[in-house]
Amino acid sequence: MDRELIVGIIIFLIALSSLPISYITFNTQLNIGIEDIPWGRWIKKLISQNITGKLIDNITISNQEYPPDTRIILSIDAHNAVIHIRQSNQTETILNIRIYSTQGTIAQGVGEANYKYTSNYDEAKHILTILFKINNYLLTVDANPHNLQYLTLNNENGIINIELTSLENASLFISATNIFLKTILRYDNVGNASWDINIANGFGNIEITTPNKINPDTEGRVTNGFLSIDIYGDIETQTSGTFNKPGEKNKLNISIENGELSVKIDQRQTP
Amino acid sequence: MSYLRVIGGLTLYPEKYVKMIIHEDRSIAEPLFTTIFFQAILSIGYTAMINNIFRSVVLALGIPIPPKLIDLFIPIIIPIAIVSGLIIWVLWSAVTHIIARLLGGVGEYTQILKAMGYTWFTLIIPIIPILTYPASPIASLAATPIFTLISIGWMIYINHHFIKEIYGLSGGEALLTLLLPILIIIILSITLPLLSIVFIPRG
Repeated sequence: MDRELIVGIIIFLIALSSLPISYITFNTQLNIGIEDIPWGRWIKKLISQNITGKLIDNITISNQEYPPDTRIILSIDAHNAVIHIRQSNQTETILNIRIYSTQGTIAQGVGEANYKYTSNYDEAKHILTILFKINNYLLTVDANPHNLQYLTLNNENGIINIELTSLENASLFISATNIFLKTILRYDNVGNASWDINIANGFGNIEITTPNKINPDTEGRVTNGFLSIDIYGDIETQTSGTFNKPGEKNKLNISIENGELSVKIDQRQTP
Repeated sequence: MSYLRVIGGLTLYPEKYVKMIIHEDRSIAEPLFTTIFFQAILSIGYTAMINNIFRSVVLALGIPIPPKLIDLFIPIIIPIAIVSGLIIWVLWSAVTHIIARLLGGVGEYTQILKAMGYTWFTLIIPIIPILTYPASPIASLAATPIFTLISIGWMIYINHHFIKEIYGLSGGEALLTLLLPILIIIILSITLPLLSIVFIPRG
């Protein structure tokens, strides 16, 4: 073969080899931070202005039992992630944890379920602890209800911090680069599952009770109940959830105003 | 003379192979294939890179656009980019032909059309950052404009020989013939993508 032919073949091989690499680029998370992108620092500064500071003052939901169609959504804006805690009674029995984040979503390329989680069941205390991880962000689930007072999210120097303070024992670990969040899923002696996040003494708590038993042998599964934690990569400017009980109507409002995220509960007694 | 040898020959000995291509009066199929093939490869690669960056930015900004919705634009953008390449090829050849004739050249339009189609293989240079993107995304993006300029320079160099050979013009006249259409191409390359964005249906 002469040199011209060899060079011609090499040129086409180089061109063709870009196709599988393009496919990889389409479908792979390349872990590009916003700061790596041109003007990323400027963009980030704009974002930070909207989320700096205390985002949540308090979260209060009345402690009560909810009927089977109960649906509660708690959203926490954490820069790149919005945490949704949702419970509703479904025929499906899976404890569904879906996580969306900037990095997690891109990693999968489909925006779905990029997570790892493990669970641990304490038979004596009837406590199921769930740990799940989103790429660089590690969130854990706290087995220590009734001692959380404030959940504060802030962004300083590009690092997202989640801070929990308590009148008693603080139960949230804060890391400079990783996020650790703990909460609890538990069930009582008769098999009723509940999710407790007690925000403040005297302010009430979030309590979600499933009507059926959790099977402790299946990791993170709720029998005839549906419990999910969703972390989305978007910022919800306003959302709301409602849950009804015969004779009562309660409304959960979540909004972001002037960079502050607030969750309010509107409790009304129906006539 | 095989097609691959022509491409390799234009790379190694452009002056010699320019003369050979013109005197052999080769089929239009080869330059057409060259234009479509390299334009497609480049479009796919750069769409992948831009898509990757775009999703990072969109999600970092918290804009609630589902990733799958973003992916829907890909089958639209790539054909538009390929067609844009073909339009540029035909128009650039036409403008070059008109200018060359005004300067006293005697060649035919089909000759310059075929010749310029072959030079689309020089897009192999900006394809290189596509290969390195997964390993080094930011460096690849930064290198893209430099590689594109090298590619354009290389394309002009080969076309310069083609014009001299086809139209019998001097080196200076051939260069002038090329530089005027380049200005028009730059304008088109800015306006066509903008027009394509305007006409993309909103999902």
